Amino acid sequence: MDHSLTADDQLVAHVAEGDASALEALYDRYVRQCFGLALRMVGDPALSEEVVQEVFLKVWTRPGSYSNTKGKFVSWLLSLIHHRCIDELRRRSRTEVALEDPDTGSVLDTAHDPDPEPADQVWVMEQQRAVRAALEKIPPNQRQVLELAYYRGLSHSEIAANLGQPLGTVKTRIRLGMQSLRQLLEPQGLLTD
Amino acid sequence: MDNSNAVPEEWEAKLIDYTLGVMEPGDAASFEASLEECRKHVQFARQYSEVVGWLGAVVPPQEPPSGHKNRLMSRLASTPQTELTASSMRAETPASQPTLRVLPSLPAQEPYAGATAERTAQPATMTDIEAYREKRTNTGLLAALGAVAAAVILLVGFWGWNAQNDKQRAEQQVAQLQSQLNTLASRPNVPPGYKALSLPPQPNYSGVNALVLYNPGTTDAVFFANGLPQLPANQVYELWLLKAQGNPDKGGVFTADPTGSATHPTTSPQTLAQYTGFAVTIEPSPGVDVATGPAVVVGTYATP
Repeated sequence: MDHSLTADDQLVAHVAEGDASALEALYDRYVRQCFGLALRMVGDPALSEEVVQEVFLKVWTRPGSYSNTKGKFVSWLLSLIHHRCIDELRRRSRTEVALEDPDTGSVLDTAHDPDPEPADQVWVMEQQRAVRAALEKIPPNQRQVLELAYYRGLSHSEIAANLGQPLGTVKTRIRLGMQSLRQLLEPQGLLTD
Repeated sequence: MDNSNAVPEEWEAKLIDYTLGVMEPGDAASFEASLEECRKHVQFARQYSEVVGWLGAVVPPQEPPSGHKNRLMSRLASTPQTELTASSMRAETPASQPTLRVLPSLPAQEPYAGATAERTAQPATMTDIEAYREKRTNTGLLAALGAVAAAVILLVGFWGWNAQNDKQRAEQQVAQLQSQLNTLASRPNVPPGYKALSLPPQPNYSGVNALVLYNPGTTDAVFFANGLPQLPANQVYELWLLKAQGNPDKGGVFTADPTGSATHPTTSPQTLAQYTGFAVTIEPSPGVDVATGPAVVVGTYATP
């Protein structure tokens, strides 16, 4: 069955009916984004692969854990990847397993996807551009703490130690940064009303 | 919780920290309690969850490793869908870390938007998640199938690594096993409750790894093995169903493929709960009614 024109919500509904081809379509649509995020966070291709597989298996086993009241499917999917990666980062810090260091530069220093797949939907690329633009608009010191929290999974105190800043300052910057992002993304139609 | 429409700043700050995953574990636990109580700012909480999701979209896409999709689809084939109705579904929560317990499920739990009776009875807590995970590991046949498939795939993969020429055969074996597992899993009348029984090798057969997938309440079982020695043309392997008393019942004969692996489904005369275990012996072809040859593997479970 050709799902190339089927909306995400409908694909998830098909998955809930046991349609593996629908899950495959969602995979084709978003795996590169998911793998990119996982690799950025954990830095290890094998671990990233496992994280992505687990998340898609989770979509398969529990498709009803997503509904369109939670916003766009891709946003929800990426949040699963993010949280799973944080689990891995913290597990790694506990066990002190030496793996490759994840990329620690600003995400804004990375290029846009230079070679988008034909399967990548235009609106996904547009959303990526919108989020990137929002991130560029917030003050650099807020963006810095957000990136340390989001992409490296650091806690308040870890960020404070990392930057040599007071804990309260870190907390404030995170709060202001997230508030700004929410305010910037809402008019873009990226957040549920 | 403040009853005004405005979101208290302190609560918003905590929500942000919680959603982003930066809250200290101790603080996260107490904040979760406030999430359970506060039902009015659900939309607010959802939006921050969405912001967190969208931040992931900024990272440039990357091509996953070759074969990633095939591996996923293979795992998919042996993974049951645990919940298929919306009313029975609740959000999945990853997280070994308290801070992250309910992050992805934050919008899904909807503690703010009016809890259903089900949710009241089963609040989405870590205990809930652990119970779910435990349930998943005990899902029965399909979960056992998945475990068996993974074990077989690993074993077959090991051979393929050891002997390059065996790679293709190993892949065929995996596909064959997967097909058989899928066939078994697709039987509409197969109840849950299947078990995997390891059959330890007997002396002189230490290289054999074997297990049986069986359901005590049925007559269906599938035997899997690798490391089996090649037999001369006049000999076969024979599976036996062990009894508490008397001679074992026959479970059929089989041979190993060139890589030394075998998959042998069998149907027992009685339900498998009536037996005490399984064994495989080497017998003259085309098999015998009473075991005479050396035992290769023997495994027992609880006596009836």
